[in-house]
Amino acid sequence: MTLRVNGGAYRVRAEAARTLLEVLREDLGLTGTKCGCDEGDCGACTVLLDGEPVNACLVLAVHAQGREITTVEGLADGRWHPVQEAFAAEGAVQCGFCTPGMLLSAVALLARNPDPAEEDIRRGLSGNLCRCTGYVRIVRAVRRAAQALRGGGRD
Amino acid sequence: MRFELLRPETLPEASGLLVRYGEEARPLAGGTDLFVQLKTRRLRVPRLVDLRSVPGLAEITYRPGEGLQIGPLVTHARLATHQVVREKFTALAEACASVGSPQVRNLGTVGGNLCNASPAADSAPALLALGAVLRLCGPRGEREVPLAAFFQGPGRPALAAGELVRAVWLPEPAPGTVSTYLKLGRRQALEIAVAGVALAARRVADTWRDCRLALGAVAPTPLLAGRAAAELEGTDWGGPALRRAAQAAAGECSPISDQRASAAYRRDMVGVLTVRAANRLAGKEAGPGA
Repeated sequence: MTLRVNGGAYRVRAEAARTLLEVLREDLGLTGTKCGCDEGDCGACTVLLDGEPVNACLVLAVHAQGREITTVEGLADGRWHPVQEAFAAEGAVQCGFCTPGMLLSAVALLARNPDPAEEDIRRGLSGNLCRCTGYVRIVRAVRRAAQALRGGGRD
Repeated sequence: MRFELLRPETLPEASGLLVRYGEEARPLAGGTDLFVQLKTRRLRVPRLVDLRSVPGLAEITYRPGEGLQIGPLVTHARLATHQVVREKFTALAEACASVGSPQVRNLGTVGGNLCNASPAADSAPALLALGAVLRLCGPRGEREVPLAAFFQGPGRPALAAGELVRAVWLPEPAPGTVSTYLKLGRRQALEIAVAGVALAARRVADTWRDCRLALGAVAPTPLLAGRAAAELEGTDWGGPALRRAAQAAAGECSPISDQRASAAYRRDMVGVLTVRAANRLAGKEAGPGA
């Protein structure tokens, strides 16, 4: 079957019970998406399906056919995405394991709500657990990214 | 996980597969409960009957004056943000918005939530308070079941072999009806309710009418608290009435102690949430997200 990932099309073996997380990591070598709890409880495996955040560990690869899949590898296009810039500038990355999922949830949040209040940010990231940072810098980074995105795009 | 994925193209075909394979198959909706059960080996089945290959099960259709029809595969995310649901069936929007996380809400479905029949299912108290009726279809044809009669026990929905939920039907509420759902948990997301309370009613002059109160996570099934609702009915929801209703609600539930909370705490919280729900509808308390 064919999966559309980060703007490209990839042919992968269609096996009923394989999750999108397994196929992304093992077939496509896109290891930016992490396996945390494998049960939809931590958000480390967050990817976007047609722009909507989902837990890739709970999506069958066959159900992702015909959808646009975005992983963390799809955010930069030669340069870092403003959300990535903001995370780096605010020191919002420690061990980095939650970061890909956080970035994608943030991207989805800001696409839906370009000027989120702190409560909106926290709610938008409520499906992504971080064991290192205490979330403060992550929230700051999302606010910073929102400002950058409102301020005229990526240049 | 290991299973064969069967992909029927019609509901009768799906029913037929479920009947044919019996205990060796389960229907698949959003997968947010089923996959967790399979991955943790709480459930072992060799076949899943994929309902997502059947077209037309994810529609929301509002018929003004009649009611709202919700397909079983409609996600919590869509119900939480749908304008008609938010305005006229607010408790349902609030309940769906409280499920899991943004990621889980984009996958999990209302049909799956009901048929998984957890005592703590968030959509259930809201749908009970709003008078939901389920339209089922199976090998013996179609039938309607009031949601209040659908839960037979933890994890036991009233579905005959091969029966599936075709739609969730919510009748048009009487003008002026307001509703809300309060969920108590140890944290604000990714949590199974410790106690859930849904209240629907409408104000007529100084009194409240058509009061319906439903409780979740405090009994083997979600349930309507009729005695508590009777204490609210026709009153002004002042302090004494709310205290009587809270006491009645606490008496109508039968919670257990588990890793999330003790039975005594849950019973107490049912009373607290009942009062809070009433005050929220009466405009005396901040709404969700405040």
